[in-house]
Amino acid sequence: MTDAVEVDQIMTLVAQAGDDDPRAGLAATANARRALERVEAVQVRRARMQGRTWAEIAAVLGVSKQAVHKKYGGRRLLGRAD
Amino acid sequence: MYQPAAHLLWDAWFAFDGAAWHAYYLQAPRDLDDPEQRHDLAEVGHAVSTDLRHWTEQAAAFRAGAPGTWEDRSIYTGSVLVHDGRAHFFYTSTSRAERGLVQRIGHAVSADFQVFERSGDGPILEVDPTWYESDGGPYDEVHWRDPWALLHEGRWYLFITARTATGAWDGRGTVALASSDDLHDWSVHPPVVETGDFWLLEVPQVLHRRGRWWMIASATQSWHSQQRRERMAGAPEHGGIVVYVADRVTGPYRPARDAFLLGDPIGTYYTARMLEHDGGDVLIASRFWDDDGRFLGALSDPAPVSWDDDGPSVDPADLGGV
Repeated sequence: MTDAVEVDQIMTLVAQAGDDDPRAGLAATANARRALERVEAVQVRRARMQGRTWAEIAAVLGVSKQAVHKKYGGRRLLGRAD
Repeated sequence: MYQPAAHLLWDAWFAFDGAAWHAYYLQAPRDLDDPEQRHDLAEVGHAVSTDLRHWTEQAAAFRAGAPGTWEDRSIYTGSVLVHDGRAHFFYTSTSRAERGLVQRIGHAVSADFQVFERSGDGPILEVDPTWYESDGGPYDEVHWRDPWALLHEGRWYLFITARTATGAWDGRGTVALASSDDLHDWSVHPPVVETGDFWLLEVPQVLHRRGRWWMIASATQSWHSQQRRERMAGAPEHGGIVVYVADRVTGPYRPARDAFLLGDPIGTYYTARMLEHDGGDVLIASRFWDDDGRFLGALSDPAPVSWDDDGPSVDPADLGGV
């Protein structure tokens, strides 16, 4: 089941992205992008649990299989090269 | 199932004080943008139980060290060994100066099981480049963590997550062995686990059952080496708990079987411990993901473990729902 609260927040942020104040608009686009990333991660894990292959998931996302596996494959990144 | 009130929980380890069980676990604030941020903020949470099912949360038991020390960034997984009434905590830490990329092992002690005091100013063990990858490998990260402590015939052993210095890069995951007769002078030994199958083997535990030494450890679904994938001929790659076995405590530990003790395509259950409770073994795993694929961060119920010559088995249904 899709997280209705998260999706509602994204809709609000997307609306704010067109704000007349560019600082407010940019902050909204950044927050909306992060929220979408979270939803995407959840959907990728659901697809994996439903038996979808990385190739299928990558095709739907329009990226390479290697890219989607690297991003969501589950490597526990302890140290972050920040 | 147990969740701290305001924190995410992941890897856990346990100690029995003679009357009650103590769960120690990595925790980070629950309100993170991205659950992967938890690694930067990890400290040791603590809860107490008599039945391993109902837990009462306690104050945090251990935190990162003072700024400028070798352990000023965050605390990672370890284990507690009770000896002469005191709880010995062997743990992993990293420094801000190295941006958390180099792991080392420290030692702390507690008399009351509530708060642990560092036993010295420095780490007790660092990666040994003789046998282990020490240059950071492809991701610039020195793996030397998750010590499992064991006292056998008067000698202290630590089983440590590491990568070998040589071999195919995606199959270097192993477990290092260190030993000490006095808790001061430590020797690092060659790898005790047969390598080749995984990029890493995390959070090992070693226990003696049915006359042999068994090791459980965790591997994610993306850590299967090409060698293992070819051998498994397209079988689904699971994340979860694997089992190794040896005839001696010092190894060599070989895969007890190819199938995971506990596994699925996203590693729902990850990092597990076996505990002797009420005359039998139980397994408690950390539940990372809920049924919808969101980070959960909870401790499972204790699942009874059955043993035969192939090793341990558990029924995932016994781990409890969300």
